[in-house]
Amino acid sequence: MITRLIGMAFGLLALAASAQDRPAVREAEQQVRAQFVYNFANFVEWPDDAFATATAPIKICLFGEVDFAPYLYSFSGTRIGDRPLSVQKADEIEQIRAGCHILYVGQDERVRLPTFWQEIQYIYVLSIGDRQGFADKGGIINILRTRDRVQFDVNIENALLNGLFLDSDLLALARVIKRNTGP
Amino acid sequence: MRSIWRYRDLPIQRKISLIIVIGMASAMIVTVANFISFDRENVKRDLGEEMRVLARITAARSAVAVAFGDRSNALENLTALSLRSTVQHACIYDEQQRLFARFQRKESPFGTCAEVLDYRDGRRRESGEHLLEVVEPIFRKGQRLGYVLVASDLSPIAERTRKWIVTSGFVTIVALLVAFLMTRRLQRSVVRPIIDLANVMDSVRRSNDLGLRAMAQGRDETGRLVDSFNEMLEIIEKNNRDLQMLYRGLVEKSAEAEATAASLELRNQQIKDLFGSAAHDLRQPLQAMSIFVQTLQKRIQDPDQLAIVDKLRQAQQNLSSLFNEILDVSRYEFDLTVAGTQPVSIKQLLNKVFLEFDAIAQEKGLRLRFHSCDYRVLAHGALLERIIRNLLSNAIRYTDKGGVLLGCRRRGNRLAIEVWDTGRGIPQHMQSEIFSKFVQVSDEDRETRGGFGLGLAIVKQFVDSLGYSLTVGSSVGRGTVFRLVVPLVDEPQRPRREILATPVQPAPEARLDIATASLASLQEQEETRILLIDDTESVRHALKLTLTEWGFVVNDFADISAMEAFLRQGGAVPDLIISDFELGPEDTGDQAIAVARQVLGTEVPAFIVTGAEDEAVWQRIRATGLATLRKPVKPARLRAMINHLLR
Repeated sequence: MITRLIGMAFGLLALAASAQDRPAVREAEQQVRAQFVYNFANFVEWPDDAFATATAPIKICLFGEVDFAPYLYSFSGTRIGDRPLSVQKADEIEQIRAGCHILYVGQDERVRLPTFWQEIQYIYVLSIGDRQGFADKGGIINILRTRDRVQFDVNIENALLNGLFLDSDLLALARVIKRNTGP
Repeated sequence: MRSIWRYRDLPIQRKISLIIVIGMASAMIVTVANFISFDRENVKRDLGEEMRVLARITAARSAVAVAFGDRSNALENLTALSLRSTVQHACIYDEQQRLFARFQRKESPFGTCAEVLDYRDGRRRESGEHLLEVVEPIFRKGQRLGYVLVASDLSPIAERTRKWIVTSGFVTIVALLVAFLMTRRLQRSVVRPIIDLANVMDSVRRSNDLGLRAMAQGRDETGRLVDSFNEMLEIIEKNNRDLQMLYRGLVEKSAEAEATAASLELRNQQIKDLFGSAAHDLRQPLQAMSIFVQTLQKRIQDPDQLAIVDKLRQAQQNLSSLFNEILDVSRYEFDLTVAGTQPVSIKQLLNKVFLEFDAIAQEKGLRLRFHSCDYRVLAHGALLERIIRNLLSNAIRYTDKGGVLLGCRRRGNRLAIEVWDTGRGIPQHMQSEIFSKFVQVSDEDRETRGGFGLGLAIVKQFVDSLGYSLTVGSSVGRGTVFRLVVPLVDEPQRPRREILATPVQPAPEARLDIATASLASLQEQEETRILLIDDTESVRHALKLTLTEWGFVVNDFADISAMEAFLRQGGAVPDLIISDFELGPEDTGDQAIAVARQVLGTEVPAFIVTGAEDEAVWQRIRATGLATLRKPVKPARLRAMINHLLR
């Protein structure tokens, strides 16, 4: 089902190369982004310490406003290995602090970023955003749109700092693999 | 069928080689076929395993690409498979088994992946003859994301199989060759003795040399066979030797027997000739002796001397009759060949003989009985009479008391004429010999009973020449029976005609002719004068001698003129002229006779004696119309001719 969507999305993307602002195209792109987020949960390894129990759910927290959230919710409850996937909204910092494995930072929270990372001070969190420079400014994965397709950048250093292992195959798909150039 | 026959005709060595080669070849073919199929299965399984591993690795690496829908990355992963040369195509399908990414080797002769995979778990994917397809699902954290299909070409297996077949074929040929060469040496020990044996058998058969032997090698079955063959040859050789010795012995004996027979024959002939020539030459002196004895008997008055002369006369008569017997043999035989057999009344014949011998028997104190019968037999009358006479005289001679019986009885179409006596009998071992000449039961008989043992031999000769059979039965001390079997004449008997038909018995006449060399005839001969002309002196002398011995007076001349002179000077008138035909270069016998007749003025009887062989001369002789005798002249002929012309 998922791959079918992806296929549709790719097909639509190809068609919408010159008319990206059409609602149908946007919708497809949103589906693809939701799919991407879901896929990252599959290809990232969290250490056992990140979970309370062996079957504890992988939590996806949506911080700020996320336009593809409805699509993502549909993945909620699906299993990744032994763990179920849980998608929830987290508008407050406290909610994040309660424990998130994947944190998607919406567009509207972009301004808070520099201080945001200090505020959470929390490891084992795969942070995903879709803004320019998100991976340079403390984020791990930045989903972005190139001319004809949806791709992503990875800051592997940030991932390692957060105690996460990214699948090598995943890295092979990344458009750019970044490191922090300075303090 | 034909190939089987051909196989049977193969030499034994080829057969064994063929068996070894065929056996080894089939064993190797089975082994190689088994090995190849095993290897092929193994290789196929290994290839399948390898493809599965490759598919699995590709599946693991391609999970992300499928998840993120990154076809280029997926294709990249599939393209990596091209390093494996057998991989012809490889594809990735999504979760719905729709084609996601496809790798196709450019030069692949096989088709490409299907648009829809149509794969179910637990079901082994069917592989074609030349293409092996392996499908592995793509799993990520327990979730199926899609499938990887890898298709491998099976041609390397076929290639490998082909190589194996070629290699093993080559190895098989080499192995067969090695086996053939090795076993050739080995089987020589098996086959060689058999071939040798066959060769020896052949040469024995060809050369017939039983001294040949086959060489035995080892104590196996072949060795025993060779030994048995040699033993057999030995036995045959030994038997052959024995047989040859026996054969040689037989040949020698047979040669001896032949030599004996030849010498006996010669002796027989000599005796015959002796008697033949002697008889005639001796007859005249004998007859003269008879005349002189009779003359002497008349003149002597002294009783003592008369008794001696009487005995002399007796002896002379015995001698005469013996002579007659001997002469009769040849005379009757000649007669028989001329006249043949005729129907003869047996009753008359027997009656006559009986009467003759009755007196003799009575004289000896014996009783002669006679059982007559009335049949006609096929016979030469004189000969038959002579036979019976001899048998009867024998019976009387050897019987001292009792009697003699002459009888006849019919046996089918034959008549048995039997002479029984109560004499001393003939021992069994003598019975077959008594018919030989000069054999008598005991030597003393020659003196006491007279005869020289010729009687039965002559009888036997007569019987044989007439084609009759003569048998003897006897028991010593009791008597003897001679049985003569004579063929009957088929026609019914008629007594009247029988008497009329009875032929004139020539025997008494003949006896008169020869036996009674009476004084009268002798006187007559004394006065008979013969004129003999022959230019060959030796012949003339011999003839003269003979004629003189016969009692004739002979005047002999070498040519016509001498004879003519003798006659003109008043020489005695001849009663007969005998002349050679060729008297010198011009004169001939007929001329001599003509001259003599002319001088004498009477037709004196004459005949020609000639040794001429030339047919032309004979024609001339015949033309003269004179009787002719051919030289050398036999005395009997000469005598007969003289008698005939003087009659």
